[in-house]
Amino acid sequence: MSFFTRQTIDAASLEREVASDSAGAIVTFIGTTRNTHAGKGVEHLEYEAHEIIANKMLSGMCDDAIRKYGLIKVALKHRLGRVDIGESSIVIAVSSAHRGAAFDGCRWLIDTLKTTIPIFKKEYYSDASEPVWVGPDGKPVVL
Amino acid sequence: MRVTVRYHALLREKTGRDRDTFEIPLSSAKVSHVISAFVKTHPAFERLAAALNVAVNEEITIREASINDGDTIDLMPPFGGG
Repeated sequence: MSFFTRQTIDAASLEREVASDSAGAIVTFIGTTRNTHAGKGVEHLEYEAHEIIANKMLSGMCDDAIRKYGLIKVALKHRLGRVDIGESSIVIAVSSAHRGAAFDGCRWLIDTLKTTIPIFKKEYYSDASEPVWVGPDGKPVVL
Repeated sequence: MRVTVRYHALLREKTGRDRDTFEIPLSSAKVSHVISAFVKTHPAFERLAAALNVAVNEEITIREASINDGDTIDLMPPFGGG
């Protein structure tokens, strides 16, 4: 199973995946493509990943979140390729018995993904200036 | 020893290549030796070298990790997922 897709992500299907009779909460994080960054108009994003390493690490990360926060289930999908403004680049859905663990676990998952998983983002601007690769802090990665 | 170094994202774009083979003239070498060899061949990366992420045989690792003849090393820029 891959955590990556080049198609639109259906958040509702991830929520169905994590649904459970023992769950009292489902929390879903949807990362969407914003039309500005650092004062510049963004036209679209492009994502690539080292898929072999990333899939292995994401699987471990989801297991860690389940153990660390006592979650019931986790579902995660990340886009690759072109992502237009307003589209989802990532969806993370988690279920737990109570809402606190679901909020905390979901937050930990997106924060951990941003800094540890080999996924790379390139921003394309509406003024047609040179596209820029962006790091986990949102700052341009430059030579 | 001889290792294959694969480039991802910004590195592939700026080097214009998806991989290089480096001969490291040491019997016992570390990831840091490979990064030095990479920067020697691609000096434009000197400033970014400290921020690169590295995997050896598809496991992310640190500069001090040992490498062996025939290893495949992935050099990757800072991550940007999410």
